[in-house]
Amino acid sequence: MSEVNATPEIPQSNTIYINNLNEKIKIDELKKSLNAVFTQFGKILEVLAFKTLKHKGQAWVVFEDASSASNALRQMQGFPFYDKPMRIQYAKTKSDIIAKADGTFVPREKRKRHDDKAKKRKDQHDANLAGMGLNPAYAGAYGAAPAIAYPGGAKSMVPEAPAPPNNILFIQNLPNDSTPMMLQMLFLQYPGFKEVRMVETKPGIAFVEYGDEMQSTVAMQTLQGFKITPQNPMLITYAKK
Amino acid sequence: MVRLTADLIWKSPHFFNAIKERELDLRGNKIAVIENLGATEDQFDTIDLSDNEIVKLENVPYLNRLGTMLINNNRITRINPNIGEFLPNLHTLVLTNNRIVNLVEIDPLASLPKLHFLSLLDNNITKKPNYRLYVINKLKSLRVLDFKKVKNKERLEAKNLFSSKEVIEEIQRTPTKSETPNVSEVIEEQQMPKVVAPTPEQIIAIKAAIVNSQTLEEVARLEKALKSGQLPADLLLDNVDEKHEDMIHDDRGQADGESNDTQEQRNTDSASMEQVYGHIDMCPSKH
Repeated sequence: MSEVNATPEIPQSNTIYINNLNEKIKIDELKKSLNAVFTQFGKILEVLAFKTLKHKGQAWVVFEDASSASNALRQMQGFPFYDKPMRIQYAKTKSDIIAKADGTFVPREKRKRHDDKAKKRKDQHDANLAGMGLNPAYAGAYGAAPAIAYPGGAKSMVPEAPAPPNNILFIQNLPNDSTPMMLQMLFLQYPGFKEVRMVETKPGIAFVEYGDEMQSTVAMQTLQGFKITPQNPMLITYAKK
Repeated sequence: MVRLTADLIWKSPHFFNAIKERELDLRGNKIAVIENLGATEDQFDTIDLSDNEIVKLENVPYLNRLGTMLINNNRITRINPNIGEFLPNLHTLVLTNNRIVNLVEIDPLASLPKLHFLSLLDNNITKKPNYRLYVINKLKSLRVLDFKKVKNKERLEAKNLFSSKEVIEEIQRTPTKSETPNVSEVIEEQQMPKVVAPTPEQIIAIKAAIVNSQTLEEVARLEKALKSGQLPADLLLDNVDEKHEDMIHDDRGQADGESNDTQEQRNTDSASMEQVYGHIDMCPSKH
């Protein structure tokens, strides 16, 4: 009867694998309870249970005799253990403790696992370095540019060739530490707002896009000369197409 | 039959077990009586006495360190009433697959001050009505019984049930209090709690069988009747049968040692038969 439940592909083994265990039980108590319930079938060499996400609700019990494992699998299949029926099958791989006893233990397996861990840590370290590398360049570019030249230049341009009305505004004379979020909060309150675009290499200017030119005109007229800081009244014109 | 001697204790495996406790492995030695455990010198967290033929849990010296006793697959029917004095730190007791039958037989476990974990699986006691609540009511410190947590509402339920059922409790106590009971008296008392009593013809047949059972052949016949009979008859005959087996064993024990060996072999055969029967019985209940 219980053979039907067991997976026939997995061959008989000294070790049984159990899942569908109650995950609320602490690991130490779980091991003690598994030891207590399975000692009736024979001597137990090892009980393995872990609380990682991958191994939660699972355990391995290693018996001295393979016949003990067979009896345990047959008799305890579906046994209500802490209110959940146990699902038992043979383990797919030989346990280390058994492999060591019969001489088939391969140390390379252990070393490989360790190397994988070390490699993973190294990758994370490289990623951190890459992240740090970006900051100096950004700060340097941001801090190096002078602010005073553009407002003057922009002012001289306005009388010469004012752009025709369109849905994108060109903002000048912004404080150096302006951020897109600041401008967005400002311009968002007018209908039709789409987005703010700033130029990294040229602090102090920005483009603000609206749905159509009427909406952008309303925003321009209302916010013309708005002072984010006392020294920097905004200068707003239509962007050149 | 093998005696549990100091030599046996010293020769048996000592090791750190799967849960990292210091364990003495006395498994599978055909030990019939617990004795001489003082030779362990209180060096073990766990003692494994599974797969033996122990009948009584007694003769335990003071073992302060002992926390776990594994007594699977024995023939435990009785427990020393003062066991708590000798095992002050015992927290785990596994009595899976033994022969504890009556609810009152677990009362001595109440004297263990730190017993948190108890297993009575595959004992006939688990088939008694209100078994779980009775054990919970008696053993206040218990946290896990038969691998299920004891919940607070179960404790309250047990308390309510047994405070208003003193009469039933008395009835359950009566059969085992008398050490040398009158046979017919025991039969009648044990019949009372059962919902369906045997018919008068069955009673007469049982009495006749008991009177006639003076030899092992008769005991074997009674066992056959056990397996083919109905459940109440099974339980009833099982109790009587065990008592008679004890009496017969005592009688032959008084005779010479050779007869004792013969008795031992027959008991072993009888035990293995019952094991097989119990094994068969286990499968459907688990499914």
